Amino acid sequence: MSGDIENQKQEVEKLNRLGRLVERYAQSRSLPLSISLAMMIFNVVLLVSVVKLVVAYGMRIGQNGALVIVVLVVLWMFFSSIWVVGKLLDRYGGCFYKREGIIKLQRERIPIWAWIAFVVTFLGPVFLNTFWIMPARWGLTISLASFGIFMLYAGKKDKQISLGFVYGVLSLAEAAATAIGVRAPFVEEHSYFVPLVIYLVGTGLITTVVVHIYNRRVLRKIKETRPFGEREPNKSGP
Amino acid sequence: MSESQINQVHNNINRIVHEPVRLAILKILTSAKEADFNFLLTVLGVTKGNLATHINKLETAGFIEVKKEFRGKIPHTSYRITKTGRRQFQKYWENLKALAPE
Repeated sequence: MSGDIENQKQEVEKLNRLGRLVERYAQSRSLPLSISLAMMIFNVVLLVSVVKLVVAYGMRIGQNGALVIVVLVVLWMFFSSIWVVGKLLDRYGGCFYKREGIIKLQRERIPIWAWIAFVVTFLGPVFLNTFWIMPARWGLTISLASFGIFMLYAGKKDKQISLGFVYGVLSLAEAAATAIGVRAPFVEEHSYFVPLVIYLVGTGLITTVVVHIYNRRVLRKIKETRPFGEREPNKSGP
Repeated sequence: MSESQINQVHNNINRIVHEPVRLAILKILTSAKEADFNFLLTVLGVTKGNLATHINKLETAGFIEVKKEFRGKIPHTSYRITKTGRRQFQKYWENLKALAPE
């Protein structure tokens, strides 16, 4: 009888471990982040191209025309970063892990106040810098800190804890580095937009790789944990 | 725990849940919202036929629900635990813990 109990105990421990590992694994699937990063790069290229076109053909389209085009592009950037990326992730996010299969976790919705707080604190300094109210150094610090805090919060809510944690901590470290005067290489002192994109895409890539390595480790552990003394199901059973 | 108490717990154990692979499937599905066939195969390391048989038993018992859809032209099957499944699993889990206290 005591042997039976010992076996049951081991089974409970194994299953608890498996449950924890499966959650960790599902929370650290980082490759779909590359979709967001690709969209970010596409949007930057789009914005730079549009600004160059507006500058080149500004005389022909007039001041109002130029303003309308830039506003449309900014709206697209905002809309695509949230809605389009969300749709792409839903549709193609699983493709990265087709061989291992798909697992979806119970996620909590990120409240609207968190989005608003993030957008205001992230984009606010961009506008303040554009109108020469806030120097690039402090604007970047606030934007990066806002992004870092939002990633930590959203990662927890969206059950992407590893991803949110690494991306958030790296962004906060960048914010601290910017505050003490460290600048991205090859970037002018008053440049705002370029370093912001370099930081976000760069840390995004680092996060993707780091979390992916962690994810592979967890998967290996799952494979080590999985044997359950497998036996054929009892065909005459329930 | 006395032998009669242990026997009592044994009698309360659900025979559908009391199978290592089925128990593991339910454990995975309680911690996730949804998982597909390939994922369960990867995690459990059983054969396709074996997994299908276990899933069939859980589905017949009403412990899990099956969602079949087409992604492009490829069929895709995913599973969710039902309320009954969750309740039975909790009950079984408590019995198991009673037998093997930490």
